[in-house]
Amino acid sequence: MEEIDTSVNKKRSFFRFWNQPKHAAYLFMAPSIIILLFFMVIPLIGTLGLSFFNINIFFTGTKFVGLDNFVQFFHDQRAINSMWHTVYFTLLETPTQVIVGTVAAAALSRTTLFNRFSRSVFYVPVICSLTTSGIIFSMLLDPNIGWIPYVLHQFGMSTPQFFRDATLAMPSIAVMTVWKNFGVTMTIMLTAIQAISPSLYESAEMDGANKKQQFFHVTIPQIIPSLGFCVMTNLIGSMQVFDQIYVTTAGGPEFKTESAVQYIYSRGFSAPYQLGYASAVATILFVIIAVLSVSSNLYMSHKEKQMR
Amino acid sequence: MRHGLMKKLGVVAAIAAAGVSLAACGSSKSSSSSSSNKTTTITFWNGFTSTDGDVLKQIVKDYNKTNKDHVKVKMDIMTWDNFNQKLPTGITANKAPDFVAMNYGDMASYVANGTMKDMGDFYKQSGVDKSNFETTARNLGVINGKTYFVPMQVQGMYLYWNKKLFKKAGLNPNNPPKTWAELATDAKKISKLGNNTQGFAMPKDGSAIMYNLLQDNGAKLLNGSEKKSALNSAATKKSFDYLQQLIYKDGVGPKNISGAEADNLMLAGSLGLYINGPWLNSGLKKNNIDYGISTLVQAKQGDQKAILDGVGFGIPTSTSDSKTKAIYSFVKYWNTTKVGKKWSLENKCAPYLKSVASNKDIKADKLVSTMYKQIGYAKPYYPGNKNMSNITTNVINPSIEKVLAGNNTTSVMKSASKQVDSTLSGN
Repeated sequence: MEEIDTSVNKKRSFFRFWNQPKHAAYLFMAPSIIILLFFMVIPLIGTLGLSFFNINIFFTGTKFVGLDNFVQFFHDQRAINSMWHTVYFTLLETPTQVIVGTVAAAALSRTTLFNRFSRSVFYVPVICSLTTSGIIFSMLLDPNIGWIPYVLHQFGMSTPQFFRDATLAMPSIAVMTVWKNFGVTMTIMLTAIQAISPSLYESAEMDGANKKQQFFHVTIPQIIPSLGFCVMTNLIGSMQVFDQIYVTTAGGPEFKTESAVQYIYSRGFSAPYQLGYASAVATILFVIIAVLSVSSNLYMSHKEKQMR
Repeated sequence: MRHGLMKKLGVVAAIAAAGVSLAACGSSKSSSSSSSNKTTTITFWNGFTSTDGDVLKQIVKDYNKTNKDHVKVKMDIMTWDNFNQKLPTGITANKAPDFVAMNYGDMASYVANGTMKDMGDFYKQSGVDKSNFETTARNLGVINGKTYFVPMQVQGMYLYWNKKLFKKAGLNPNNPPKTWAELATDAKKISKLGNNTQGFAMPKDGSAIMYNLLQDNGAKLLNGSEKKSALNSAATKKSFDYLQQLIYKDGVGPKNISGAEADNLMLAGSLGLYINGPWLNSGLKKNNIDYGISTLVQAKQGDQKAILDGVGFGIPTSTSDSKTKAIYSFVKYWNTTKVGKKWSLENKCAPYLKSVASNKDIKADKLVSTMYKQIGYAKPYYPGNKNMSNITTNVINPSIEKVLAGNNTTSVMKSASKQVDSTLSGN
């Protein structure tokens, strides 16, 4: 009898322990932590480990080379160029998307039938895959069979080569990405804008502020946290750009659109299958993204404090 | 111990990176074997995604139904791009299929890394007549004296021309160009037809055309020992200048176009002349394009130079001996006259089995017999060189792009030569 009592007590204390909110929280977090551990932390450590080795994808002829792969990066013009292309894409895409998303959100913030319809329409590209969007844009912008060059030609304009032109290719990819993703930014900003108290606008109006002044002096300061979130997530996403480039230009013309991730991929997963070197470039990219994210986060927090 | 840990770390990192980069590329299917009623199931990966894939499916289906060796082939067809991405990680993670059909250009690096089985004993099997295989086709799969691949298909680059556009441009539709110079003359005439009509297309990833052009002009990619680049030559410059003049200066075709885009132009009937492999035939027929096919143009009339390429069956080292026996059964079936004839006639492919080549139906087929003519004198390009795939992707294709974009051909050539040297030295 006593034994049974002890076992029941143990069970009770076990459930009591995990029922406490501060302990239960860990249970709720556990699935995410496990997923993060297995799909982010361990591969990250694995990548860092591989970057110190001369190793190919077949794991033959493996040799410890210390920091050689990192040194090689600074002598590899194509790798450095791919980093610059990534930064160029980020500078084109991130501000454009945040601005377009915010303006669209502000314009569609009032709940009317038209606005609700427009929000749904602007969100449609988000549910398409980047690969599909890439194929659609490749066809639309193709100088020989594309609809957009055809229309421009009908108006007597010269037909730009878009994805085939070294200067136009990256801006074209950035425009396509903005079209594809600005629905997400718009939705986040819309939620933030709709949460602003109407009394703030009423006060501003009483003080004689026009719509433009209300937007810059009421709306923007109130949505700074959401704006910061959008800037940071877009920044991280843009620095990892791959799919749309892979589908539309494959890094061309003349590697002018080759992004860092694409370069990592081509080094590691196609001939010459240099997994160690690819890992070193991936590690460098990781550090750059981490520095950029932390800096942008600190800047936005500072701005938020300033505005308030 | 350390190697084991590295391998585990590597597999995790490789799979994670592949997951990040290629989220859209579908799932990797592992090889499997099931044993019911002593049936051996063998998994087979290849990249025949076009109409040739339908013929292949039919052949596999027939084999599965009729073979008496209790073998079942389970096939996974994917794009060649996807294939080349999945196979290396599959091999490393022990998830490779039991056998594959692979392009000859890609084989050497797999063999160099010890991932492919020696298939030399295939020809020693009863019912396999080694002498029935064309020697050049058989030798495509020989690396360092060992047979790693058995032919599945042989091919070359052929000249396609649109007869309708030839007529419109005032050219004889039954007289295609025989030399590169004639090709340039005809292409210029066709490109003047307007309405987005192109004379000739040189894809920026058209290394197969480039290698043929270099060879025809007497240029060499590598030196005799294949340890140094031999690209820096007047013949290479001549080849680069020819392409630049044709596309960039004379504008007879689109600049910066991929092979797939060039294929679409030919299939849409707006391209006069094009060089490509046999796989274009089915699409042209389907689109009712009035076209002709001939052996590849030459530097001088009467020359007979061409590069032999193809696809071969290979077996990863992870495949067990019992499954290897089952694979041989299928490969043996593939290399029968009946199957060879079906594959050649339905896909418009040159035969490599003598018994197929001598068949009256094959001889009567104008397209197939034209292609077979070229197979007679075509030779493989640096066979068994493990660096060819890397050189093609990272040196030759980018150089083609630069030449077509109007860059100085001498500096492109010198830079390409330097890069080839760097690749060969392993840097």
